[in-house]
Amino acid sequence: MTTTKDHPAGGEPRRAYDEHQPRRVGRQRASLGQRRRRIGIVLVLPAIVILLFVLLAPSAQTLLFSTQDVPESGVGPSPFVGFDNYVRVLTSGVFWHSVIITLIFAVGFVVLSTSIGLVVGLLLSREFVGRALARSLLIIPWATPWLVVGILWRWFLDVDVGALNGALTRLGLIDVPIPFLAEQIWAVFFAIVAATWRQSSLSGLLILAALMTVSRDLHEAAQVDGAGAWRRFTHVTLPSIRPILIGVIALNSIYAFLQFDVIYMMTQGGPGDATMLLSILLFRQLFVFTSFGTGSAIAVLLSILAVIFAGAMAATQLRKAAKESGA
Amino acid sequence: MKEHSTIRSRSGFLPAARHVLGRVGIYLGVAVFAIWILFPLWFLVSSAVATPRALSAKPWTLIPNEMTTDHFRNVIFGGATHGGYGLSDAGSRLPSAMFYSFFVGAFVVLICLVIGALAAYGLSRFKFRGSTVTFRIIVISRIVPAIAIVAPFFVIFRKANLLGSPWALVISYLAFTLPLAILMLKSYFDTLPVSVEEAAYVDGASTVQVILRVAAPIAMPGLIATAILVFLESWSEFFFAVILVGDLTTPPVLAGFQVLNQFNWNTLAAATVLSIIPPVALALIFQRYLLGDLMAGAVK
Repeated sequence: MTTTKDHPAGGEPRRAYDEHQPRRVGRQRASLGQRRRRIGIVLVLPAIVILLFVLLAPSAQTLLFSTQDVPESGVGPSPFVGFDNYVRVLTSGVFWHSVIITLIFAVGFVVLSTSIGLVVGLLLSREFVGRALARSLLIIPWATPWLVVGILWRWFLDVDVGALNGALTRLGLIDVPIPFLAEQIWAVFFAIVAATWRQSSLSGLLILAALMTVSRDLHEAAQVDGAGAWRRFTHVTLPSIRPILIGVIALNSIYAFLQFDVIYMMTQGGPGDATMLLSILLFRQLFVFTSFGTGSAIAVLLSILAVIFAGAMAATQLRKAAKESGA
Repeated sequence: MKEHSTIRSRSGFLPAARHVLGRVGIYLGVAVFAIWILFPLWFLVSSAVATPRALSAKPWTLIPNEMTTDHFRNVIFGGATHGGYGLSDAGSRLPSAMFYSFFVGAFVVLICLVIGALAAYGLSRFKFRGSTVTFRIIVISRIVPAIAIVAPFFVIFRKANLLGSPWALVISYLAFTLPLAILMLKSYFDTLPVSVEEAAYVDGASTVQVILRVAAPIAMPGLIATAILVFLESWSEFFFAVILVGDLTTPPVLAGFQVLNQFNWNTLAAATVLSIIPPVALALIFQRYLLGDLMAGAVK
């Protein structure tokens, strides 16, 4: 809690206006305040109206669909069926299989993206020749669309033309090329690695930005006190970037549940159902089996799962932050 | 006592050795980092210029031993007669798809900048009852996975006969780009001093004048960064595009290429390289604006 208060951007910028307001006469000041509030509302209103239409209405409609028996076209009489769609989804084996796959993917994705991002951030915050170039390099995966990441890794791992098999064979590490995406364990593993390739870059950029603001004096003071590299990391660096770290973990968690493009291009949910994320299941239910009712029920369950997961992942760091600020 | 001994152990030849080791460690780390990022990208670019034969040559080589520009020509002009692949004119769909991606991106950016910046400015400078709550709700709304709300868009656009139209994307993309823009710009406005705007008010400027002549120019770096971020989101979006407009924009066209039999990996690689030039170039050119506080502001 205290961490948000400390943040400079969280301050109230209207303070400066309040300082010169008392100069005006009583009645005029009241009407001026009123006018200012009205300007605020007028400025915000267009955005609110748009968001009501493009965000709130579709969310409400999805909730509604999930309780209806919607015809295949999506248009026409949709009788209310209560929780029938949810019962059908929650009693199906495919759904629970997808939940487990999604959670495995999400944990792997968040842990790898965050830790690689942290390592890269720490590395690029040091002084070395070619640092500017390395930082530019870090931006490229982030600027690469998710879909392209999927295409790229699908072929990078290919048995015939893929560079990974080519390089491993050439180096003598394997004798025969491995069909990575045809084997269930490898497919799940590389789906996580491919998605991490992009997300760890964003995590790295954000953590690097935070590290640049860590006070050098604090570091030097710790060094003079005889703190080793690891102690400096856990007692100086980590606490000072904790707020950003919490944000990065929450962001990575949200992206974990949004993930569709990479898997769709790499495996389409296969081999078998090995990489059948909830998002892929949702897509199939909605647009292959054209079942808007059960599809919407999956959408609602996916959103709930995303919120719980993001909260749980961020909570581990929040607790530490609370302990630190309390101490 | 104990502290004393640690300090002493750091003098002598040890620090120098440590320093060298540290240096070596850093460059080793940087090398691993460069391979992690560059190896997949190198594979993409080299595949786009390699001949199919060079690509599947055994043993594998880092630099393809036969190169060609055919694949790029194929996906730009459509290659009916080129080298045994690209039998249809499917390749020529890429330029028009990239045009539509620009079109959609430009309108999404325009709306996000005008509507989003005004809202962010209002939330930052003119507090009103419920303005904090409004901002919180906008922040929290980003947790709703965009893929969870696609069905209603599909049904509404079918009713309105907008399926397949770029406007379907312009409208639906606002669901996740507008909150992002408001969030980033509000954080940005909060860091800017209000004194200049105040001085303008004292000089008798109207609110509109202050916004256009004073606030907007000062906030230009934030506006640029937001524009780039929103454009990248729009350019990259696949799920809504494939469902709402089929193969109008770049991502669904690339996805279509992958399942086309007459498209080999070389040609797909060429199309993919062309498709990531705009976002990568924008990100590299404007990286100065994207890094720093603004990126940090995005995760709040």
